[in-house]
Amino acid sequence: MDDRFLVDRVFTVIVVVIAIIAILPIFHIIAYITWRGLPIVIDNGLSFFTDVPAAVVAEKPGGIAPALAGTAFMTITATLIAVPLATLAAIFSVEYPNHVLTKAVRVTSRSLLEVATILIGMLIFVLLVLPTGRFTALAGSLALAIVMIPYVYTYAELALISVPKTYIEAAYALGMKRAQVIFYVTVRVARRGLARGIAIAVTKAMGETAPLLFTAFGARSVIFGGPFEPADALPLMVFQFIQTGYDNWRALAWGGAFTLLVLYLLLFIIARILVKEVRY
Amino acid sequence: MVSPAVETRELRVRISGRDILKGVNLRVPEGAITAIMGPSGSGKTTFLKVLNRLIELIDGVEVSGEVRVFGSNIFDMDVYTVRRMFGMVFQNPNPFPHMSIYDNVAIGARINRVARSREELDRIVRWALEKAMLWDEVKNRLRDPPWRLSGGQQQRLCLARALAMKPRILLLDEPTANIDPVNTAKLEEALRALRRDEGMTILLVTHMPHQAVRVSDYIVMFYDGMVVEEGPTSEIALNPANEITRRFLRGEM
Repeated sequence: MDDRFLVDRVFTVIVVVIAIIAILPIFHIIAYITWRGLPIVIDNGLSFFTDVPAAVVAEKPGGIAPALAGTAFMTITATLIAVPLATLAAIFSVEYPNHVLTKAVRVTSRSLLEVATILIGMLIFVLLVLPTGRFTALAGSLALAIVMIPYVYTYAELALISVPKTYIEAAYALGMKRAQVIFYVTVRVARRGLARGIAIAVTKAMGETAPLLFTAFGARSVIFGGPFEPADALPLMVFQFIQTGYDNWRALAWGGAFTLLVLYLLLFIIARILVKEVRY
Repeated sequence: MVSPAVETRELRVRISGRDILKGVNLRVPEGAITAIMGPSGSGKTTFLKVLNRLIELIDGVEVSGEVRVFGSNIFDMDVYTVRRMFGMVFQNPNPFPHMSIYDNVAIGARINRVARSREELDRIVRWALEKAMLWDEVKNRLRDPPWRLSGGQQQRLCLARALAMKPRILLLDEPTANIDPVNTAKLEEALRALRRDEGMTILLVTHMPHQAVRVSDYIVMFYDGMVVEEGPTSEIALNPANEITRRFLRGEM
């Protein structure tokens, strides 16, 4: 009779242990990056964020300003391109679920999620960088936008589909036109899900290295040269500097990784505070 | 019978190849409460949703026959104009969850441009909430979200939302099916007052015979997609001619 309590105990322990093992890597990453990166940020103070990287022979590492500026520019412009496009596409698929275009968009979006992002970088390289003959921040923005679109679309579609039909019916019964129903009811009830998708897509774009290798390329000597000049980005800088043998550049890479981590957390906290959950 | 607000001729509805309404001929009198009774699946809700053409939101719906509202064929009219003539309250309370109590009522008036100024909008919101017998309970918390209200209050909020668009006819689809007796009584009282004071034409779908008898002037009995009996409530309640109506009133269905 006591066997079932014993079995229950054993399974509870097993499940808890497995759960801990599953989330351990995340805590390991966070802890290790903080341990290596935080002291560097503290040692260099504000200049860590405002200076360009120092020369390899210098004693001080300098700062990550070019990477910070490039990431800010490319993430914001990519978001401005991707979010309206993907959200409108999601609205279209939810409103016309059986349309040929909807099926095409779904298949394309799902495949795009699986495509290695370096291929997206190569696409922009062929379409934009080769014809214009230069690496530009804008090319990086475009590549990141393509990375973001399927994420925003997938989450937006899910959020919009989950809006209870009874609210949509009530809206039509009030005499609202389709666009009014979408604008006044559907999108607003789904706002938390939409925001979640955008936040995930933005962090994805902020953390991508591969699509920038052949598009934005990287820049170390100027903070930001404008949209038509090469630009640096946090993950790109981390990727390139951590492979060098220079201690001061490796220090910049760890500090940059830590900065990226903090930006992620900030983004999710801000999204949670700004966009309130709709209670039914 | 008084002049009809709604008149249907040979109204048939098929949804995905299934016959839901099988030739409904009905005259709904103006300025009265008409109860549509019938067991589940008899086509009552479908009938309501044909009237404001909400049925067209469903895929694979075929409607044939004629529906006239105050003399005009609704299928010749703009669909939004048709919907604005009707206010509708649904079976489950569905106030918009992202809007305040005030905005839930105001949205109907805004969409239909009933109000021209802020003051007028305030007046309409108050009028609608008073008519729905909710004003006293919410007047100090108009900015609250609707989930703070009880289910019965939410349903009266939905009634107020429908009233704020100044409809000519009110459609209610089993509005008290999921509501406690006290709130049911309040909603019924609101409906009686609307008919008495505003001369509102009201169509109330219900599967509760007692409710039909309590509030309505006329009763229409639906069964299997057809009208099996109709007439003044006093006659039908006391002396139903049809065996199905008799069994339904006795609660045997």
